[in-house]
Amino acid sequence: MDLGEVATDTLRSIALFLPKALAFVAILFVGWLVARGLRMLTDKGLERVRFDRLAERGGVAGVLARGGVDASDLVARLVYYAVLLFTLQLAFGIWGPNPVSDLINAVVAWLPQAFVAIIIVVVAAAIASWVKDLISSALGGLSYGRFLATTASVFIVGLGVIAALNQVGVATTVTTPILIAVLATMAGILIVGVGGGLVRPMQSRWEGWLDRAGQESTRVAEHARAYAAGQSDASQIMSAPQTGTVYPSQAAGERPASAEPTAIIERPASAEATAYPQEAEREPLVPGFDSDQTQPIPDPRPRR
Amino acid sequence: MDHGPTSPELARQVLDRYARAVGDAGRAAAAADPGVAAMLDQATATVGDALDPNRRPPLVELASYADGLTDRATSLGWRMPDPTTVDWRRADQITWRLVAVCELATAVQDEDVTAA
Repeated sequence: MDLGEVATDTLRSIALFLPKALAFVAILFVGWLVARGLRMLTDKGLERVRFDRLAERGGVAGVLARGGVDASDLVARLVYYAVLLFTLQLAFGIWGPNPVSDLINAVVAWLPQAFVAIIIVVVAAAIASWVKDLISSALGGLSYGRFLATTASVFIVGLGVIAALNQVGVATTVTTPILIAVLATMAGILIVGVGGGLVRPMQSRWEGWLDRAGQESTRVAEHARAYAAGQSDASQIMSAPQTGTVYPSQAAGERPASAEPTAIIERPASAEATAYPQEAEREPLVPGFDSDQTQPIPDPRPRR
Repeated sequence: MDHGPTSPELARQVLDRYARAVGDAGRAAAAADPGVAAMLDQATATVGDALDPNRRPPLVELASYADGLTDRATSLGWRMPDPTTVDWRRADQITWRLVAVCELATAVQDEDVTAA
């Protein structure tokens, strides 16, 4: 190996490398120019079609504004970086297969999904906003109208976000639990809110039922006691001598002298006494019964 | 527990039945005859003591008492007298208790009317 060969090899390498390097730089430069141009075009074009207005209605603008960009700006930047990525892909392709190219290829292949995901979120947010407007204007008079509208819009945005996450390839093992968690949270709110509202009415209703049950049992007890008292009184009366004496004074139409004097109330023979003309019309309780068989019982106040 | 009424409405119906059987006739006789009135007053006092001396007995208790009285007495051979032919001076104690129950029930009814 002599110096001349080495120099020749080096020169050949440089000769081989330089055009590639120049092409690489040229591609990057042109790509950068194209990317800038496309960014400007996209920004202007989207502003022309009032994409910002759409995003604003969807409520995404409020989130983006905190980051200092508007929606068309964001999309324009996306386009810019996408074109840059394409440029990089192309430029690194010059060097043949290499890890950087693979990485860039993967990112570029993923880009459409990200784009669709952004579209999904924006559209879902817009739908949610429209639904919120609709519900709050339709149910504005109701106290829970605002709550209902907000709930619906949040729900739709959540669905959109989950769909977007699925779109960009975040595993459903992550998004499905999120969805379930959201639904479970809403169910919990419903149970506590609606069910909790029913606690007081049910409480008062239960108190009413228990009160009535208590009154009823008291009444049943009183009724049973009275019934038993009637039975025992009847037993005493009937076990007393059936053929007793009749007070002579009773037979003579006078009060018995031995009767308690304070127990007697004089009652005038008022019109009430004659107010039973229909008495004769009544049919006897037991037909053919002879009331003369009814035995007078001597003691007017039998002790129990 | 099927011995008689447990609601005031049912008790009122039962008491009306007793009133038609003996109560009205007995009270009419008592209004016409002071001697009969004394017997009614005694029976009324006895019934009041038998139920609850400290208060005016409610309709349910009156009806239950009358049911228990007539049920037991009938099983022991007593029969409801015919109010058109009964001799109130010689009427038996069971009958007088029934008339007393009707008298007390009328007082309760009057009280209800004045309260309402």
